[in-house]
Amino acid sequence: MRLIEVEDLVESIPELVSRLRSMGYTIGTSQAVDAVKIIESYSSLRRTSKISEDEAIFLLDSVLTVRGISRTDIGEALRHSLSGKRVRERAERILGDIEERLSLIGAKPGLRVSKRSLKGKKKERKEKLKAYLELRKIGVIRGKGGVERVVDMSMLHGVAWRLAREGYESLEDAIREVGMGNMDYMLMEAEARLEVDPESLSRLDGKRLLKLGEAASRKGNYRLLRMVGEEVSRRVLSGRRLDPQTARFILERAGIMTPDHDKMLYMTGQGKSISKNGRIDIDNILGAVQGLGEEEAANLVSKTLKIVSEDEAKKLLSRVDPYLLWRVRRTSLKGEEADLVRAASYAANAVREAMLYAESGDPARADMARDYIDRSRSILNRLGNVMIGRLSKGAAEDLLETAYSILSIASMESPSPGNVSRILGMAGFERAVRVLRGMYRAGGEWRSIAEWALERLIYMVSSREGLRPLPKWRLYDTGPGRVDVRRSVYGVLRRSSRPLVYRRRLRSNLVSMALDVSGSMESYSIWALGMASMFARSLDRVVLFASTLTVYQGPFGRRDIARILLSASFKGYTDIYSGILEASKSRAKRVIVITDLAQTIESGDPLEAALSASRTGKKLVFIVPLKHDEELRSRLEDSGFNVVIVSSARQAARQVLRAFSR
Amino acid sequence: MESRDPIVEKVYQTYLDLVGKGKPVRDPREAVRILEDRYKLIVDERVVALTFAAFMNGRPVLFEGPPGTGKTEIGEAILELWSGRKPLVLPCSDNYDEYKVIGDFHPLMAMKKGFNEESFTPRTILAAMILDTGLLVDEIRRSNEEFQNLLLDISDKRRVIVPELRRVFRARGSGFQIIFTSNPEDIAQNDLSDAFLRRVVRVKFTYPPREVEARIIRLRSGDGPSLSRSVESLILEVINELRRTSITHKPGTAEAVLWARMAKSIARLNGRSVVSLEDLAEAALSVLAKRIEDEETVLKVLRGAASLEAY
Repeated sequence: MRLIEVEDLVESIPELVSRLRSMGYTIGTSQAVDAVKIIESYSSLRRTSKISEDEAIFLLDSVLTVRGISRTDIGEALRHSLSGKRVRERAERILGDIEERLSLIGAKPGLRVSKRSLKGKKKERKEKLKAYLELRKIGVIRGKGGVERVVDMSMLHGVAWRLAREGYESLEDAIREVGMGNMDYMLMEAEARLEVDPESLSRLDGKRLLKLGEAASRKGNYRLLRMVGEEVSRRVLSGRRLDPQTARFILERAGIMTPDHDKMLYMTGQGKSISKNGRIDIDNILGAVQGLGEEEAANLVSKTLKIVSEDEAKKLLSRVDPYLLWRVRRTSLKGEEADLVRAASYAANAVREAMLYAESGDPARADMARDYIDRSRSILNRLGNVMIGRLSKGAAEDLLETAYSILSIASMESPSPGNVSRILGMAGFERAVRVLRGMYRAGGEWRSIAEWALERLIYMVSSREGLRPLPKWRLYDTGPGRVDVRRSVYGVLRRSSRPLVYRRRLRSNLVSMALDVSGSMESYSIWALGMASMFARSLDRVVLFASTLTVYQGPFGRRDIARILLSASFKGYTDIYSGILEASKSRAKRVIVITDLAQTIESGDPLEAALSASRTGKKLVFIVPLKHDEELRSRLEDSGFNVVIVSSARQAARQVLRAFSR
Repeated sequence: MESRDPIVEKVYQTYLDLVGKGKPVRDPREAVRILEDRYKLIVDERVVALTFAAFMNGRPVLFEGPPGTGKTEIGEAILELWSGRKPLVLPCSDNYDEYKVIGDFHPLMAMKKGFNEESFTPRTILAAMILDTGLLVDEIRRSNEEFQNLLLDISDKRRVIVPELRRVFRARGSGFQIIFTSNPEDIAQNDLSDAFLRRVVRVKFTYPPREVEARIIRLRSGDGPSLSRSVESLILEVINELRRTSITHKPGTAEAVLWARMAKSIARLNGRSVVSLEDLAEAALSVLAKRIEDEETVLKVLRGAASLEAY
């Protein structure tokens, strides 16, 4: 950036004004005086002694308010007036640098550049190539290959003066930026080991960045490779799309590849990231599957299963949600295990089609669902007791049950929330919420039925699981409230002064909730928010955070919470930082955060957000699953935050209820 | 005890509640932060620093630019930060004269008691001067030249003369500063004189760059359903495209924000947590087309941008 000393600028104003007058503008002396005063005040207010040329033009344009004056004229007058003593010194230094380089490659002003002069021994060649590229970059050598020419003497001076006026102290200063020229030129830069400004790498587009990385690796320029690698890493971790194969290659060569990079490349790669030749880490694939939405996750699972070995396929199948198998066509498994996968895939398809039927009401979808159910059933009937981790006959049967229940709900003549919730009660809470979400998306009358049904379902599940709100009692010796017989009797026996003890149930204090709705946290967030709906009146704010934030502001009723659950979508990366900040804007004192603490978007440090929330008097409770980012957890705990680790989604719900009852 | 000047008394009775009292902020960086946090305004620090620098040197500032770029709102907020009190706003009109802006004599009272403090009613400029708060003169181009000259005299000398009362009122502190706003593209208005231009510091407002506009939309479109990146970029695309067309009223940032807000409200009514393209389309005409003949252009641009988005 071209920087101008404010002192230089102020000194140059008389010269600048007279230049503008010679261009035909009428500028009074009082205006010039005011300009000096205002620029001085401006720089003292901004506490800076240097400003950019743009900023100087902005100031002069604002202060020298003459009709019709153009910024271009101001810029020209400014540049002219600034060429004082200091600039002259700089220009002479830069000119010397240029001449030194010209003599190194044996070129002269006004003449053509001979490519032959760039040859030499390895070290010499590199020196010459570097000098040549630098001269090209600042515009001393111009023209296309073969007819390249050094500019004439007056233009050479022009270049030096321009750079001097732009504030560069020497030629080295001016050329610290990767060229944006054509690819060949850029590759030569990689070879010539020019100084590279990491800032300029951030301005390159993805394709060019990867090309530069490849070139740097090929030419053995490890410093550049490392710099490119770091930029690639930054982009990968912030979820930007890059060609996964090349990005992986560069990260590996630069020695900075981590499982996180691998996971993110699977997530952003849109299937391109799976290659037969590359190494595939199933753990990372599983991580990516958890972070993705249903569609993309199913795609990744099917693509992976297509090419991995039998053992790896089993490892993946044993841990992935069977519902995500609906895209699977081919695996390396054989015999009964292959049949089981096929049966599960058909069953998953049946659920999918049934959901689509519920959404669209298209009878063809229902037929498809029934067809898949039949196919799956026929395979399951002849299967023995085969099992691959989570994937078993039972799991496939569960899916079929779900498909049945959705079909029977969707084909009801007059669906009622009662029937719907009764049928779904069998399907398991998370699955039921998914089904209801499908119905909700279908719109129309289904929407209100889904809301009702979810409300009832939450009630049913809570009583089945013993997840009732824990009442908080306070004892009084005056009414109203129920008489606490036990305590009253004790009181009488102990001759206390309180013959009758009443108890009164207290309402919970206001609570704000931040829920992680990335793919991996779906079940936790569903349970937590579902059960929190029993305290809907005490909820002040609900923040759902993934890649984006959704903020709901209370007061809520149970129906509102059901609606939030039904309209939420669980996918994307996680921005815990913003989630916490947003949730702590509530007037509630207590903030419950449910997350796996894995900040997968470059936004800010979640700990900082938590600290700033606690500075404003908020009390934060973090409820995290067993698998979480331990580094962040320990930092949170070290800073005195309450982090509760839970082993299942039900436990998370229980902890939420406890937090409400506190 | 000395009794208070009856005119000051009248000003306090009428205007004090209006202006309130706060703490002046005169550090541009702090001001930019407060503008964003409290007023939800994203302002270039250069603009704030230049305005403050002009105030420090007793020069009024002219905010000039197309409609919907936040001139008035930013002007009001900066004046409030500078003086710590809410500024008084003077929306200009062609027939303004000193009686309408400095002070007026009640005709019946004047007939009965003569031209004295009792029959005098102080108006906006005098009130701002006495209360030491900022004055925002909105749409200065709508006023006539005499009025502009009157304002310049006041801002230059920082005093008001009321000959009938044989009195001179002087500004009491540095809080009394003037910001003018003007939109050179507006029709049916007067030009600004050279003398006027020479005396003011002019800050030109333009439509903000894309990323800044996106930030403003995010900041000001309120809570509720969220805007996806694609919807946000569609809004920006359409707004920028409309600015290039020959539509009568070119949409400013204010329209972009209003559009996003309307779409959010529609999404909320439809029970959605994310604003969809349909919500956006539904809100588009009512916000962007100010005349019937513009509707077609708006629809065309919207369709074009939406199909690009889908692609």
